[in-house]
Amino acid sequence: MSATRSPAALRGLRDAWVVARFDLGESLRSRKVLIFLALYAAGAVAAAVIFTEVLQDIEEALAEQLLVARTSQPGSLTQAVMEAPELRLVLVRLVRDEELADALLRVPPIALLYHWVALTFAPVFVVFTSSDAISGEVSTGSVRYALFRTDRTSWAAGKLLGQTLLSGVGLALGAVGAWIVGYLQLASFAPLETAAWLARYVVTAFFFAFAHLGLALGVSQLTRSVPWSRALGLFALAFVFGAHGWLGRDAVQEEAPVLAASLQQVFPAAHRLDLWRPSLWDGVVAMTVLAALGFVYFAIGHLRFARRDA
Amino acid sequence: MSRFALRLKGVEKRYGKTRALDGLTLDVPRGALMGLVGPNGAGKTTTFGVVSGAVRPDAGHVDVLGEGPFDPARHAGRMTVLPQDCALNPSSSARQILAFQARLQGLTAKAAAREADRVLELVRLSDRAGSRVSQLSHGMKRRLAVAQALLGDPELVLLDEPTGGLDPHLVVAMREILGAQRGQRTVVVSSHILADLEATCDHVAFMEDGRCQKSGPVEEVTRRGALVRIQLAEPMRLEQLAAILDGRDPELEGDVLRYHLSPGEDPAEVQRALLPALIEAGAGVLEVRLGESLEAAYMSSRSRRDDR
Repeated sequence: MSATRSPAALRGLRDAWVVARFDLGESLRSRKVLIFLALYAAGAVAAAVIFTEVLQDIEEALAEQLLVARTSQPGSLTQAVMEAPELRLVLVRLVRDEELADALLRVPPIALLYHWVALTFAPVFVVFTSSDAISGEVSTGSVRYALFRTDRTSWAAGKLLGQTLLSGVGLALGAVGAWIVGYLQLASFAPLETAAWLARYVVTAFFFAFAHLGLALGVSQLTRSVPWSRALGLFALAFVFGAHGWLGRDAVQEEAPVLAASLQQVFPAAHRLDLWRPSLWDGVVAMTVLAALGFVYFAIGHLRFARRDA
Repeated sequence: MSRFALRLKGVEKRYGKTRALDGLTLDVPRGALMGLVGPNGAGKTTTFGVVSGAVRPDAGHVDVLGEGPFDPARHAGRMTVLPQDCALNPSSSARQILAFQARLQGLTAKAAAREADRVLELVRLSDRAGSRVSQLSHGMKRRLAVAQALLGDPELVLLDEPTGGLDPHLVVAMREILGAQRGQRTVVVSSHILADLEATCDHVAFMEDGRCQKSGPVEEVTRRGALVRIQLAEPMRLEQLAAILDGRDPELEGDVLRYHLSPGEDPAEVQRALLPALIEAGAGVLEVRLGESLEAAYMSSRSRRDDR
């Protein structure tokens, strides 16, 4: 029997990968995660279905105004809807950026919808499903079968990687579901263009989810109690959104504009808008910062886990 | 290379106000099969936790395989542990779990798969290799947990209550598995079943209140070379015995006669002299053994401590 022990850093990476693969497999085999994946996919599909129905209502109203024939399939008048000045106005108000609003009007609507759903709900899903990823193993003691075989950092990093892969699978499934709904429901559906935009939005949503995943696994390392880690996860999620929102209030911005703007940067929500920008550079910077935030949240929790009894 | 596989010196661990380990000092010679005996709360499980790095000691020194405290970089794959009451991941199969753990010990994927099958065979779980852990009975889960501690070729194996919850025939099988480790590696095993430990171990340590009360080779602790213990059919009086013991000075406690051997005295010679005399005097002899049972040695160690 050959035990191959490589240098420490390489061994750490190898062990993290072994833990991540096992964790992903264990997750996919467990009912809990199947529910999570189903929720991810169902959320995107449901939103896409609702969207096509709303689109049909808008189109019917538009057809009445333009005195053209009503359509049985939504999407026939999508271009007209996307070019409607009212829609541009709504978008400008939402993103507070005319250039960005114009760019978004050129994106297939189903991809826009998917991105919005993913950025809104992925943080909640990852916190729900991952805040007990480490505390659960500590509370059942199963971590003790691993910690004499590898170091805590490699093990915890493996858990983070495993959950990251899982959220990637969930987001990708959601995108596939949205594409299928668009393909089946929309008349003027551009399959390739939509697929390309969905692929891009899977990546951006993945980084946004990763920042929250770091938060969830950071919290999960603070306690051995599963209910506590879940409660802490939800609290942390509410805190990062609440604090970002509070710092963005006009009163706070007027009082200490530089400090408020700087503090906002440590919360993922501050980088959400950049994920919508068509410029690749803006997106890459935002994704890099989000990844860094995820690692920092995770590392703060790990400082505690590395020193405490498992 | 240190002649000790494990050394603990003045190790302390508190959980709130409870002292789980209170200056524990214990040496485990390399190659020993040591039994760790003690009541619930004696600190056995905490000791295993401290040695394997899962529990951080508050004070004291731990030396694993002569290379300092547990460090995965130095000790991963060289030491394995069967922790007490720790669940295995429920959604994976027995083989998947073992292969995963073997991979973490540094084995290649192929070697890990082979190793998983080998230890499953060892604990008689080959037929359930593909079953999810959640589908296994309590005893099977315990055997699987033991199996993971036998993965690879560790130098030191710590087993916390390996026979807990096992059927009697599996307890016997476990004893055989433990016996087979003799000479190949150092094994420290905790159990409440002293007869099991006596049958398997060559060293023993008694723990109480987070300290080691007594430790050494089983022969020494049970005084196999220093005592002949005779179980009589019924209690006798010392005067009855004095006449037949030919000047020897035994210790009589109810129906148990203990004869302390002088240095160099041959126990066989003592038996040859004592037994016919006892039988001739009408005493029924039920059992003759060298030394105490481990259970008796443990109880006498406890009572001496209680007396203090």
